[in-house]
Amino acid sequence: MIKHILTLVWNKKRNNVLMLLEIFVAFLILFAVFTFTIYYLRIYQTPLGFETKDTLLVNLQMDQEMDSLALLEMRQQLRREIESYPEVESMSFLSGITPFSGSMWSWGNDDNGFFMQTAIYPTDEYYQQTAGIELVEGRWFEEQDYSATYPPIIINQKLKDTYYPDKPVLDSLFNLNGENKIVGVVKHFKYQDEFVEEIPLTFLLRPIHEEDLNSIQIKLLPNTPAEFEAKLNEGLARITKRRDFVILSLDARRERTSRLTWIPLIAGLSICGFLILNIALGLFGVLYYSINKRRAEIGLRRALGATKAEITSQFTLEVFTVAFAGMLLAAILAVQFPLLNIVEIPPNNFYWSILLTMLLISLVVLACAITPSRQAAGIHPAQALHEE
Amino acid sequence: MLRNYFKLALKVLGRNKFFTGISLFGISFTLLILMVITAFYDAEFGKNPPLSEKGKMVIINRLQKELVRPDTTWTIDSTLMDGLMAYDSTYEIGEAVNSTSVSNPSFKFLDDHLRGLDGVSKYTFFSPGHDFNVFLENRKLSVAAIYTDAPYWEVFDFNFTAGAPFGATHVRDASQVAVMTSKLAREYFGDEEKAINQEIEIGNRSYRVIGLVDKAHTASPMVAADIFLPMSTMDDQGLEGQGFMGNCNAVYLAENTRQMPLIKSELISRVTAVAMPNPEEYNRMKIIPVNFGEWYASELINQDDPAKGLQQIRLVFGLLLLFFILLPTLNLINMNLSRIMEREAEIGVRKAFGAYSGTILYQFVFENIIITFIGGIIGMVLALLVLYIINDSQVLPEIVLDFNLRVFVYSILLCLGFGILSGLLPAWKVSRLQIADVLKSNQL
Repeated sequence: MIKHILTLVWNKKRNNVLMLLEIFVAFLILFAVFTFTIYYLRIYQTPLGFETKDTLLVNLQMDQEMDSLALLEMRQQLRREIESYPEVESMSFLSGITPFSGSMWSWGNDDNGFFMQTAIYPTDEYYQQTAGIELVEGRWFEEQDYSATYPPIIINQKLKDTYYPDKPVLDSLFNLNGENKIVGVVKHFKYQDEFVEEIPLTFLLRPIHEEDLNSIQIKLLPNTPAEFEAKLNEGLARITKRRDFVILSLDARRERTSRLTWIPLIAGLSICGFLILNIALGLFGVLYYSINKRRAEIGLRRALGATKAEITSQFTLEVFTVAFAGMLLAAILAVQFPLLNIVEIPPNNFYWSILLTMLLISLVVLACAITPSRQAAGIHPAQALHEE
Repeated sequence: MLRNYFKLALKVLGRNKFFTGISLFGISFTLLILMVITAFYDAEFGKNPPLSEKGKMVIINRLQKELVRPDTTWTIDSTLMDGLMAYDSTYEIGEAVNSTSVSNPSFKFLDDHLRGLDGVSKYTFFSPGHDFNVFLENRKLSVAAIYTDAPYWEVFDFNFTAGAPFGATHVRDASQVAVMTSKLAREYFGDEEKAINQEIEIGNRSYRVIGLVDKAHTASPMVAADIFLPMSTMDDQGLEGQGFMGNCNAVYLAENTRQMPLIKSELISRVTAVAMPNPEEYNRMKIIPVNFGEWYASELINQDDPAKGLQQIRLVFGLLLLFFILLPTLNLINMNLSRIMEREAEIGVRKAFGAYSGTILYQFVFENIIITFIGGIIGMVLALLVLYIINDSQVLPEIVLDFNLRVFVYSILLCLGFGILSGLLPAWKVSRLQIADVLKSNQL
């Protein structure tokens, strides 16, 4: 049966080569779009690890001439001012590295006996409450940590899993910037972008007089009216004596950042949808024509006793064989991506994508082939032979 | 002759509505997507105001300080000679970059070192990316400002709807005057007409509005702002900071495009010649002057060499576009091949009466172009609708997509190319049919 079909396909190779090429190209396009969609949706599924609701971010500009004493005073003043508002639940000082800011700071060394690299996130002892961070083990920074023998750090689960799987890390020393003591492990902290994979990360406890703590994250009570921002704006301007800062909502910023990934993904998927529809319609048309051209052959087979089902399956299989050959060729090409490691995406995504593409194209081809094939099978032998 | 072909094409279209529908669907949607892509391309890369002269721009937005130390690499070759191990060591001295710091140049640095270049017709220093909150009766406006000098308005040809730009005297005297977009004028004053000579509070200063411009239809940070203020009114730190690093960009307009490499190399050599004040910290400085395309690439992907980045982006987008056009074209060729066989009899008769193969080829290609154009018109209507939806929904707030004359011409060319591409193979095949075979096997 299979051999017979292969002969049939080979005999019409000129007509079939175009269809094969079409399936080949369609496979590659779908494969590329699906790979990225699967990759990004998988990352999107892992939680952020912190809350963005009812949260404001302020990026202050400070005079560069201020010494650490002046900075300390101003920051204490800012804290008193902000905490005095009844709408404020909690606030923290951050450096320029804030959620969804695009800024990143990273340290790497091999002082622990292996090469390790971690993102650095400087903050203060209130940040767990401000951002709503969930701890897996240990505790968050406390006030007495500022004077601890070993500067304390808090790591994320990802760092533990990457460098110390199956080992207790709590209260052990970690060579980061000198010797640091790990006091806690947080579950997740995906602060760059909802669509960027979580990386090993370390929270540093930053003394309040440091120069770079120029951002403030403020957690508000639910349903705080927007007028609060004007009040906050005035308060901050009064203390810093400057107005070139911006208050923004963390939720809005989160949405803006993820839109940069959503838009291309949705555009890609809708273009794919159009391409599939286009191919399906085209395929249907071509099959309809070409099967109608073979009325004589069908009439003869029916006259010799072939059942309707046999004829339907013959045509469907013919089409499917061509499509399968096209998919196989494209899959051989596609599988090179994970094998040769051309793009830095975990190989699993590629395999799922190949599977999904194959499934989708097969379904489309079958759906388009079955109707014309059944129509062909319905041809009355006497009529077809008479026409000849 | 062409009129006959035209009539014939319409007849063929009417013959089998279902398949005509399939063809037109494929053509119009393909062209729709291509037209939307073209509109995007035109918004970001087309020579629209205020970036009409982008082809002649040399842009400086990054200054890089490096600490470079000599680095010795030892190579030890070992060979077994007469049963004994012999070593042959060589070493070479290269250099290792120990630390780098990248930032925008400061105004002072540009002012001191990068003025008066040869082959430059105009140049401007400006400082983009200043954001302010403006509160207005409990409404919050986020205002993006660019501090500029006077030549900025000559380098970037903004379209003034009212008033005029500020000039060199305004900048010298630090006059508190401002040029704003009509969009901001509407939001802040409620009415564009009344905006001129009104005051607006930005930062701790109050500015008098002297000009209104159309908002730039692009996301480029060099021009995408709501308000433009004289450089001299920027806070003291930005203006008088003594370091090399700051918050300024420079754009040089070359007299002609041939001068651009010369300007780039002069900029590089000038920066290299600047003595570093603190060689223990950083002992080398470099800039990478870029043209507009390279600048765009450097914003999109992380690549040290902007020219290479541009190449990569072109390659990726070119391939994607090629694949995307290839698929509907193949589909259409396939369809046309099947449909054209319906007309074997007609061709046989025409050839029997003396038509050349070439004539038949032209006829079928022409017919196909007509069908493509009908699809193109549908596609264009749909494209206008889609562009309107994209602009209206504000999914991409900075970008405004136009369907202008240039995009229209691109679209016509696209239709023509698509029509020829998808019609040629079927037409060629059908024009080579043998008269005898065709007439024998078809009922006339």
